[in-house]
Amino acid sequence: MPVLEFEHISKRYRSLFREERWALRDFSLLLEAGEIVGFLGPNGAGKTTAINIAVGLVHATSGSGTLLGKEFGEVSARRRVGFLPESPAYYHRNARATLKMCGALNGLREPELSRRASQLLAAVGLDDEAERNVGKFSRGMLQRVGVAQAFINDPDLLILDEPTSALDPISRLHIRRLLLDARNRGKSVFLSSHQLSEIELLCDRIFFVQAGRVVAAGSTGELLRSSEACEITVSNTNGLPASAVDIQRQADQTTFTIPVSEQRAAIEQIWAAGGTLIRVARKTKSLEEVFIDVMNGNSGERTP
Amino acid sequence: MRAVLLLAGSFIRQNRWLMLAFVGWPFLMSAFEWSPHHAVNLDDVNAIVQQEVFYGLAIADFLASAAIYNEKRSRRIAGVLSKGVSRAQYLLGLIAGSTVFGGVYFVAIAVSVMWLLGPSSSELHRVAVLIICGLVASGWVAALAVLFSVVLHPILAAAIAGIIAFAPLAMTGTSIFLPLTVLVRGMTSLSARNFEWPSILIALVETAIFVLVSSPLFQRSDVAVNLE
Repeated sequence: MPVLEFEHISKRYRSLFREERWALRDFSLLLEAGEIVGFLGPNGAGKTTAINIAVGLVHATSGSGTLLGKEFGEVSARRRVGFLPESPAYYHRNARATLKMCGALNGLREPELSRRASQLLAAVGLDDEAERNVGKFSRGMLQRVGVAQAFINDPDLLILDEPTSALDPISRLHIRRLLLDARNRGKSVFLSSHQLSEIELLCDRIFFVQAGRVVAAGSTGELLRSSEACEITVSNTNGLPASAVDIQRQADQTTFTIPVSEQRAAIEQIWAAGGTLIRVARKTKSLEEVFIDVMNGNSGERTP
Repeated sequence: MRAVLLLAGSFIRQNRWLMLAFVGWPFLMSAFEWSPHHAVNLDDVNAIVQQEVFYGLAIADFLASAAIYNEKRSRRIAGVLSKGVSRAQYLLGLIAGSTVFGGVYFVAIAVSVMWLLGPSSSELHRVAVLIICGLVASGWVAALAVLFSVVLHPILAAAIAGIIAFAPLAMTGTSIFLPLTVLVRGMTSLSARNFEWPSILIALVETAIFVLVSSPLFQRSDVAVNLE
């Protein structure tokens, strides 16, 4: 059963003195249980609107969707969700009390509430600051409180909007561990971020959104291997194929790139010339390259 | 119920300094009136209480009408309504917070009046009327203000709720459907000795109706939008 499903959702913002604006258009997406899904797109693509619709803060103009099997907006479903908004804000009280209030609003009771709060404060590295007022926290510390409160009810689904923004590398590591641990326990994570390295490291699948639509999607591995080129390293040869590009020579080894379609012919040519084949690998792209290709409409990936 | 109490508690905590100032106000006014050399003038006390009651209801109106807007602007609303909290519970939390704010203020008025007039049994009854009617009236005003603030800008909501609440006070007659008039007159009149139970009941019913009307309206509104 999908834990999160958007079915042909459109969202139009209207205001009296402004032009109407479509934040989402026929937006469809499906998140299965036990996976971490990345949600990428340029600013204003509709990522936050989609997240806000899922947690019931904003209503879709048309279309429908389910959160943990219930219609968007159902309180019982939200109780099983951990949500981190784009810019988290809290009542001014200490970090422990903030976490406990968030847990209590999700129906958690003592002593579980105190136990979870202490555990999570330690997990995000805030155990020493637990009694300090969050109003005096830095942006990064607030972000860590935000991540901790999202985990307070041990949710089945985590919806996180920019969880690692403003965080130092150690804190990012803490958050990454928490997310991977959640996935290992069968939880699902829906992660919107501009930190491509985080998405690349964590996500099983990635959805690319542009102008309110999902324009490409696929497993992270597939997307990164989506290059139509391969890299070949050889030694003891002077006879390189004519289509070889990016030729790099180092000692007696030569590395070059050719289209995948010419890989076999190139290898045979090198062997015929007496060369030794050292390595053949499908050239991978960085997620940044994939992102730019998708946003420029050069992606060969499937669009849902 | 627990969510409502938590939200009401947070609302009061956010406004605690304002509440402290309001609690101090009746004592400050009483201090001006009190003298060890002569008895207090009942008409003066009555005039002071009238003023204080009006301030109490006005602050309940302003606080309640601005509550949703302030929560949206501070973005705290997203953190709360993404949890297991219904929109109706959220509104009830804000109304309860405004009502308790008003209630605490009316207790302060009652205690300051007792300080001036002395704790006789008739005065005890009178302050009980003041506290109960004040609490009910605060709830009524807060629920009305929240109802308008769901669909209107808070300043407009406060103005409309204020007109509906206070305009009948300037008129000579009273309407059974505007119980605030009866409650305020009961609170501010030295001759009042009894609880106006029908008006209290009508006020409670109307408060419930305001909540019932505002909840579906709020349910249909988007709460995570840019207010600027």
